[in-house]
Amino acid sequence: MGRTIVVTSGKGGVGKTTACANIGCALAQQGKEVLLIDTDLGLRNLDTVLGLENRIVFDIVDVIENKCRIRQAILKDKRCEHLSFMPASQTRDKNAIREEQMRHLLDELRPQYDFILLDSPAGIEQGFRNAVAGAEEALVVCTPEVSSVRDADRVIGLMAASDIAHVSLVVNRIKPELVRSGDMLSLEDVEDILGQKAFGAVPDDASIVRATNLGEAAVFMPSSRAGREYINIAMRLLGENIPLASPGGLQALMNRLFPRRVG
Amino acid sequence: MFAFLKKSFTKNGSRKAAKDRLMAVVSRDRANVSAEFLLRLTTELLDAAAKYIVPDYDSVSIRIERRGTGACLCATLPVVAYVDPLRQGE
Repeated sequence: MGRTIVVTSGKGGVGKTTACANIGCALAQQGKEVLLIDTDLGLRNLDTVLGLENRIVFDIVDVIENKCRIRQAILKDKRCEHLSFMPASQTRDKNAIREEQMRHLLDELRPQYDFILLDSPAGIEQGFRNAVAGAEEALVVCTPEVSSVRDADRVIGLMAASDIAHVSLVVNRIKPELVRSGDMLSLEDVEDILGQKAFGAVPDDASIVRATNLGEAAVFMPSSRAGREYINIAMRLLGENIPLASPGGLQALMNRLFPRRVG
Repeated sequence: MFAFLKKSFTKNGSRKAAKDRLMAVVSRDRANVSAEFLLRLTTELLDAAAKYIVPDYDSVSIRIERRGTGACLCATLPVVAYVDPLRQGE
């Protein structure tokens, strides 16, 4: 029975979709059957981050409205054997799906996969509620910025009242040089404010821009530091004890000297 | 009153300011109360404590933390010295 994890943030533009794509690819590289679902109706983007935008025929709204069978809306990534993807609709809005329909769909999909990752839209409206419905775990992505941390706290609070049993925090785009010069919140600062330990700490990395331009996941680029941390996050999800490294700190250096290879 | 806050805004670049502002705003968001409410609560708590202790104002922390679906008022007032209430007014 698969684990269903929603990737969410409150604030937009903090790297939810990138996190979802990379963690999904890293899990699939470990031989896990992974399904990524884009739940951002009307503003889909996981398709382009994965480089699968030209293969879409049916989407999640077609499935829910019974216009196609479930498997017709699922794309298999040709470069990554165990990775599947269900796109969001680009022409319909967030009210095209209700929470109980989402729960029902996930109940049907769960037996076929080890992991189902749901890419949530920004905000806390219907789209967010749909993405959270039926998930048992959440990854909250935030960047070390005031607005993002505040929104992350709000979203964590909202999920405390939902069915989500476990919320993990991923701090994204940490710039070690700015932290050192005293102009950016450190990983520890964000942990203090949100009152919870981080599950992942991803450094700001230009290779993410390159990867997104190409429609490839950064976890497949051996030189990508962000990609390596996404692999670490995937390994932690699989239960491996990989120490969290504050970017710029000693543990980050150790992880870089002794990297963990995919596959 | 808020000397410890004012002091922290001016040192350590903008990082400390960001952290202090976030601590305050997140506390307020969680409790769904106004800034004025939190300021009055903090002021009166410190005034009450000052009858018995001299707190280290630089490291005082008064915030509302999340406990499950509820909230918890958490005050940390490091003690520099004790004030003996019986000897006050002598």
